[in-house]
Amino acid sequence: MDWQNVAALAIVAAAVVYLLWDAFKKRPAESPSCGGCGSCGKSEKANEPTVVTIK
Amino acid sequence: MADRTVALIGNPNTGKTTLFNALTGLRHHVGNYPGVTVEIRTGSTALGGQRFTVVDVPGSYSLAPRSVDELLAVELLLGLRPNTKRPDVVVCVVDASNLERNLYLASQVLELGVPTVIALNMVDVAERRGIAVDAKKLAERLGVPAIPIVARDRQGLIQLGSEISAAASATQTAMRPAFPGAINEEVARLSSQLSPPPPTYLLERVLFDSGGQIEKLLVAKHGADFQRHAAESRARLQESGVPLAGLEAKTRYAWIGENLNGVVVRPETRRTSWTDRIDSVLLHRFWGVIAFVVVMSAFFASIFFGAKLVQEPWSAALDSVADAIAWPLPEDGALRSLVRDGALAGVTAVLVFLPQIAILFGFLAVLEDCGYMARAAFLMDRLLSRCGLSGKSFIPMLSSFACAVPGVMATRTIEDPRDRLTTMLVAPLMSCSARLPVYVLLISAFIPSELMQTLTMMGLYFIGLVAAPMVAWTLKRTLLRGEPSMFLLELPSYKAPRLDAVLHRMWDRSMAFVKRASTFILATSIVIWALNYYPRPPAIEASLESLRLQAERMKEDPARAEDAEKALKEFEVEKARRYQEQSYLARFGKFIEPVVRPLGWDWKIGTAAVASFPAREVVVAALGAIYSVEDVESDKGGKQLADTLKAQRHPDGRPVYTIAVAGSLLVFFALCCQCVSTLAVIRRESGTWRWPIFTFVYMTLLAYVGAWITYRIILFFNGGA
Repeated sequence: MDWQNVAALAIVAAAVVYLLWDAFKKRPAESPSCGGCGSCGKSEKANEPTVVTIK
Repeated sequence: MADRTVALIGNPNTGKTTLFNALTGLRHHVGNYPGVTVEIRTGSTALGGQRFTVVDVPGSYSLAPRSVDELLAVELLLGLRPNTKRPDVVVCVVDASNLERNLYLASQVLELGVPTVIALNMVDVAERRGIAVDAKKLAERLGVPAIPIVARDRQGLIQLGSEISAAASATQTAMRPAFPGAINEEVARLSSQLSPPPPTYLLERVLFDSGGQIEKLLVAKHGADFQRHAAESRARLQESGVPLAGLEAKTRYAWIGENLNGVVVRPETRRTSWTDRIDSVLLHRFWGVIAFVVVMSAFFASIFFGAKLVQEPWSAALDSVADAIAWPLPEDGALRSLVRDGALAGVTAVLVFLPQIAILFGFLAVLEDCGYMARAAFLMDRLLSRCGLSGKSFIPMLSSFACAVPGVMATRTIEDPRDRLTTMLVAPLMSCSARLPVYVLLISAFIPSELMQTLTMMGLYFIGLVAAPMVAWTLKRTLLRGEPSMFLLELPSYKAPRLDAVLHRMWDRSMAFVKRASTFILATSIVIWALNYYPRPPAIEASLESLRLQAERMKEDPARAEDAEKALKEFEVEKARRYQEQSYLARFGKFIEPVVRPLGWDWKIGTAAVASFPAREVVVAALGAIYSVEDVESDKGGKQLADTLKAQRHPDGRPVYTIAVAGSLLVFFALCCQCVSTLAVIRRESGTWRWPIFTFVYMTLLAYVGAWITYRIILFFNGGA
């Protein structure tokens, strides 16, 4: 395997690790200032009110 | 010394978040319609030499909670929320032009025994309407400071700050409405039966709001016996001639009337305001709908044609950056392909739509800031009530045009749990900003005229607007059966949108888009590239060796230089095709191809669609990465993806992307729930995995069926092409 393949596979591994980390990371208890989806890294508020219960 | 806490409370749309931003220097989202804030936000500031944590509480008309966001406000003010201490000062933000109604909440806050300051906001609006408020006299009557402010223009904030600071360390003797003595006796009786006794205000609420949120809260804490004691207290009051129905409202409004006598001076005849004049058109049964369609058309047209002004230079700038990044890399090999065909092709394919995203959010910010959103909700009430929902559900749906996550969170303002859940399940059908790159890419590539492009864009947004009420109608008649709740919506005055607020929203959202493209989209593009590039069996190159040698031989003859060039290109194209045909991605794509073939898609489109299930905008990056690997002619990641799509051919020479394929793809993306963040927030707000799974399944099925019908219809009218 040439050095380009080694470098490429290392980058791919880093991308996979990033995606896994992004999927399972603990969201900070801070709200995005725009009221948006939190994709900027600031997640929605953690102190949400009581959940809906449908019997 | 630990920070003191000041909580901002008030009716919806009285400018609490504007005041919060002004005090803390933060820039939380504000909008000129009720229900923008549905969560507690905190910031910090220095007031009168003391550090304060400022808490922005969701707007509430009273402290008799009916919805979860109102319960949140009560719990916060009484220090009942875990890890949240009771505030040292409460600032009750009231609309100076509508004091009678706003002081209802203030009268309840004064009963809590927390030092309170009244912020008379929007005194400028009151003045324009000819309403005079004597703040000094009001403060004397209520026993707490009352400060006139215009939070939007930062007027009166210094005085408000020093009053907050003073109130935090002073003792107040606030006035409060007097209820019959029998109420106080029953409150004392209930209190003696509980250990530890809850705040008096909560017990008062239990008597007034039978079966309300507070009673549920106390029953959960103290057991079912409490419910029996509360019912007995209410029965005793009834027997002793204290009618609970309407008692609270009557007592409070009588108290407010007494206190405002001589404090508020109104003009003898009500002036017809600009808001009234504009509303006579925008809320008209016929003209209102026409205006709504015009506003929406302007919205979609601006996304297309506004963006065109900057599209070309922006695209060229992206190409230059991509070239600069790829320049130092070796001429051939895996690393170059990863950077050029994976990372750059994926990221630039998405980033090229930044102008459209900025315009979308700019337009939404203008609509929110001027007060039109509430009118749109009012107009939609008639349609939604036929589907078992109310216009209240339309505000979360409108928020979902930007992003379904805040849209789902905005359902907290809906009191009825069934209505709230139904709205939550249909909000992701609204076309969010992440769908925009897919729409613009396919529409600009396959829809011919500018008029048709605008109409198609409108049609895609209307698909969500039509599908959501239909799904709601079905849900309200099956799984979530129940009567529609009453819709009460305060229509705010129209205000000129503030340029700084609009620009800030555009900037904020554009940066979030860039950040997402340079993180999540980048990583996904790299993974898709790897699946599309590997494995690289040497047998493929060996099997094409004869082709390469033939081309090399031709090269030696100067007369055949052109043929040699052509043969070498053919060799490269064939090599790229063969490698891709046996890649992991192709194997997966061909495995799922039978499922997507009825929609007119080949395995590459199917794979890109599947890859975009975590986040729909990934499809653009995935298509960029897939086609870039096989594209041996272009050496730039930033090649226009629309042109690449148009050039795609099946082995028999038929175009891969026809108008029917583009149509089915557009409808699929308009209806499918390809967003993990949305599913996660539905899980959080509904408290179970059942509803996000349900949302995912029904939206995917709806998208598939919708895409298939669209494909067949276009094929039928297009003569099978």
